[in-house]
Amino acid sequence: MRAAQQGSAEALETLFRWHWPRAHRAAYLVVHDAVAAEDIAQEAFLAAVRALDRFDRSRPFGPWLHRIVVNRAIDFARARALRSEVEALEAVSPSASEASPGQPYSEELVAALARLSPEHRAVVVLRYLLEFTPGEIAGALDLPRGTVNSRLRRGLDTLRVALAEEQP
Amino acid sequence: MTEPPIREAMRSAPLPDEQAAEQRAWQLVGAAFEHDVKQQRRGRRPRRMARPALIVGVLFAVGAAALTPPGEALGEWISDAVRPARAPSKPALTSLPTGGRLLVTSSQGAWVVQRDGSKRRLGRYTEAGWSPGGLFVVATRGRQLVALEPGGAVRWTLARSAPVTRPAWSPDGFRIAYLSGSSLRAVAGDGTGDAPLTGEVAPVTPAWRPGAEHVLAYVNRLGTIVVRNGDTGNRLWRARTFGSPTRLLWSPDGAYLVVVSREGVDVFDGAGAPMIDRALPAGVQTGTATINPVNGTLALVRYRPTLDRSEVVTLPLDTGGGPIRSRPRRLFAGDGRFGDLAWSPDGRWLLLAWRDANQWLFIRSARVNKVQAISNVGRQFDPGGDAAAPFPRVSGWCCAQSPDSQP
Repeated sequence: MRAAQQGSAEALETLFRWHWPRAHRAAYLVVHDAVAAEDIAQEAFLAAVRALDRFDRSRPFGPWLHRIVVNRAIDFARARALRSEVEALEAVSPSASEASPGQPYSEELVAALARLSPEHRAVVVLRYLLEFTPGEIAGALDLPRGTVNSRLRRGLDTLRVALAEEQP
Repeated sequence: MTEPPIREAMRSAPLPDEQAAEQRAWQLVGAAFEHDVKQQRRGRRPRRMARPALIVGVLFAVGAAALTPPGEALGEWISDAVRPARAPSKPALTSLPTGGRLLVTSSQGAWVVQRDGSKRRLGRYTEAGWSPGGLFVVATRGRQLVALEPGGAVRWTLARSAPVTRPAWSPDGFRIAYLSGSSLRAVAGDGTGDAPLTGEVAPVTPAWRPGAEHVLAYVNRLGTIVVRNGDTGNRLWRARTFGSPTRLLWSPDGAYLVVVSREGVDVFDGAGAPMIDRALPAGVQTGTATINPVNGTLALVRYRPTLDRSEVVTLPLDTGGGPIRSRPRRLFAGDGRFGDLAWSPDGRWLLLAWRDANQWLFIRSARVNKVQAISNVGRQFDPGGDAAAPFPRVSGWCCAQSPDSQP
């Protein structure tokens, strides 16, 4: 981070390569739209570059970035949900050929996540992909801790049921 | 299923186009970073995120000029700009300097201005645009899209559930794209076959690429430029700019897409590759822009808030496919804010709507050195109004001759 703040493009690329995959994945799992996920993650990184010289190095970069990503993803998913008329045109689902054969739950998980509301998806993604604690999720999404816990519980239950139905 | 498998499933869930997305994002982020670093090394702290290396830096070298109140004179011509014949401004629009008809929208609705200066009000429409051959006008009113003749006769109407805005007629006349709420839709030129193209788009008028195919550029809600086949829905390419795009313009041959935002102008080739690499001047905002229908020259309004001055610059885009290296040419500068620009159909005159001076300026090409100024423009499109007339919008200047094959 220090080198990137001093103008090192190599350092910034290292930072980008390290954090992009999870940021991009988090956005995708919340919005379920490949194009939008890419845009949201890009926007978050551009915001990071914009604020680089003011960034407090005593704070971790990843959670700050992920917080931006997930909040923007929630906003996008909410707005799109209001316009179901054209949603089908924009939604991009992974094709069967893109599934990971070694991870039998992956495709089903994406489908099961899609059944949750954007707010529930965001909590689940923050907890299980980005490894936020419930307290950190509450701070990131500006929610009461109890709401986070209930959304986590409900989200997890929905996923369990959905995935159990998919098992042979 | 327990928590650990959920974690694993999330980490391995397939992401479409994952590697390519990372590469695209790094190109953009890396370019932004390099530009930012360059600006800091120049001793300028970026006012905000400076745009990356895709931006036209139309230099705004407004000198230590004597400032004149808006409307008092024809304005100040600077540096390599034209030395105009200083004809006094006319109190009313009595004729257009060349062929074609103007389409104007004011608080009283849409108007067609004929070459002899006569004006016909089409009705209370909020936006309007010409069909490619100038035989029809497409207009919006609340939740309605309306196609009408320049004489005012309505040919068809289409009602939607959300407000209809930003219509754009395709160059072959067979499609009209428009926004309904934040959805992008298209309808055939005869009013049939209305269908959604996509949702979550930004309030920017979509732009059809000249050519046989119905290729449409638009801006999505996240500010991404997206180019699609308007018939099949297939996405052809997408690109990002750092600013928020406000206007999309294709060159007459469809070779370039110009993206105007408040922070500057990006130019992409027909495949989405950036064509311009210049730094952005600080403290300058981009206003409206238009492309000469004959030679493809871009005319652009720039505004410097700290001086409250505007200027028009032109930039040739016809490079035969190579990068655009020419410098912008200052054409006209004046106090306050400028409004719309419109090229005449023959490409020889540029109409500059000088909002703060309540004037229209017809500027002939630089070699001829001629300007015609029309004053009191607001009142001419708000006859009988009580309060100060709002300044009208220029929606288009069309067409010298109406092709038989186009509506």
